[in-house]
Amino acid sequence: MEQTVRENGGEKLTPYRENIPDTFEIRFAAQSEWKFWEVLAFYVGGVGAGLYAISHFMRVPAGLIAGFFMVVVLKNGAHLLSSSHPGRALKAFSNPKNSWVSRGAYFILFFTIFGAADILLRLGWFPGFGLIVCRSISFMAVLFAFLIMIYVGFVMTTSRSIPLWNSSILPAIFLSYSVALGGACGFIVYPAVEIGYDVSLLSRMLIISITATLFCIVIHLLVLKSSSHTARASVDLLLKGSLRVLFLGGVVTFGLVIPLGLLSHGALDGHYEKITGMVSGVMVLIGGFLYETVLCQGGLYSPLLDVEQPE
Amino acid sequence: MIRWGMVIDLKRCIGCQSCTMACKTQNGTPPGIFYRKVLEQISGQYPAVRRVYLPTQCMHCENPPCVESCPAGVFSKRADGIVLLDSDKCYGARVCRIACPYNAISFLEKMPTYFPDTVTPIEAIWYENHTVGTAGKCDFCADRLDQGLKPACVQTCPTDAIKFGDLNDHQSEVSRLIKERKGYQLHSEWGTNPSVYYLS
Repeated sequence: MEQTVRENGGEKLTPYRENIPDTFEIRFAAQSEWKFWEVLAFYVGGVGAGLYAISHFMRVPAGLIAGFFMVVVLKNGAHLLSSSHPGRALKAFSNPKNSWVSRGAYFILFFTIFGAADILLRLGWFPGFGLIVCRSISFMAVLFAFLIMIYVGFVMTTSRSIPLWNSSILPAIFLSYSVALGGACGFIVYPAVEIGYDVSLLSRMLIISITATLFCIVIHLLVLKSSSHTARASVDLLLKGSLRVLFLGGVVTFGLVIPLGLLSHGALDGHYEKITGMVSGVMVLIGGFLYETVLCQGGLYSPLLDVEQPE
Repeated sequence: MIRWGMVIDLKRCIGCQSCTMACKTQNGTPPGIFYRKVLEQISGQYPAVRRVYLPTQCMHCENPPCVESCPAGVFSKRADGIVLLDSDKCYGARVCRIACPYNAISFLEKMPTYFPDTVTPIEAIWYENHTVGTAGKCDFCADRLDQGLKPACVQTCPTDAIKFGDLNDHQSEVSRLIKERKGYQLHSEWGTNPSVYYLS
């Protein structure tokens, strides 16, 4: 709204632009609440939890520590930076009965407790504990790692007016993508700390998780394509609109299909190479961040009034 | 048990924004913050042009997504159906803004003033009730209701387009209007069961 006001009673007239309220109610508009810090928090949370779970199966303590650090320090740090009153952040634990964000806060808390205990036990800090106790703690840590991977999907699913998010397959996508990201990160972290690991096992895990992720993403888009007007607009934004380069080029081709091809080529030959895994890992990690970005930017609200000509 | 509700007659609404201004004055909201808005959409081509005014606000849903989504428990529901917001608990996650399908929750990113570099005396009083970095929304003028008064928007509407009353009382004017003129809710398919109905 362009207005002209008199400055301090003087003669000079200057234009004054009043904040115009966002008007998604009458046209398609992408959500603008969750931006970089939220995307980063979801991303590092997924990578960290995935790396922790993968490292548990790969029996690599350094991976456990790296995954734990990503979730506890980086994810929480990004969440604090995204909130306007970080000093009140403990209030996030107030509503676990209804809110998935609140449940996620508890998952992170319990992961922190069990993850720290698991790592300390593996490093031999408390040798007195029996095998059953150690395995129970490990199980609980991995369980909460999986819940951290999946809860973001449920957070998004509860947004009824954003059809791209309001899909029951989203938690499955987050789960499979987090496992893929964790495996991809393993290919970077394990050589960095000079730890021997089973390249073929990690490659196979990555192949399966990438395939599952691709499958879920395709199903997600197909379901949306035959859904509401806004859902179709979101899909068009991803496939034909301003996000097509990021989505089709960055996420699908660069981040999923090419790494899958590289790893599958090795699998067909029976020769799994670390360098192939590292290259694929970097590509999957980049693609994963782009996917989170695209998912946030492509989340269109359903307008309150009918939209005749989609913008 | 009373369930407060509102019926808005779109045939009577002339888009004058009186309700918007009454709401802003009642709640003392800064520039850019609207607890109530009148949306306007022009559609069609000359000579078959149609203009629609749609007043919107917090719908005080029976199943409010904001209550379900907020991790901090900022939102609560009174026995009479009014959804209240306690900004002292808000830590700025903005999950409510994402969850509310009616865009009824505003978020105060910063505290702008109506005049550059000047806070007028009335603004100084108004803004004591607002905290930067927290959410805000319509509360059906709960304070006025508790005093036996109507919400400011209802009181102000020059065309009497907004009716307010008890949805659970089948004899009330709002219930009668909904029944006789087939009042509808916005996006009832989302299962929120809003307390605001429209007549067209």
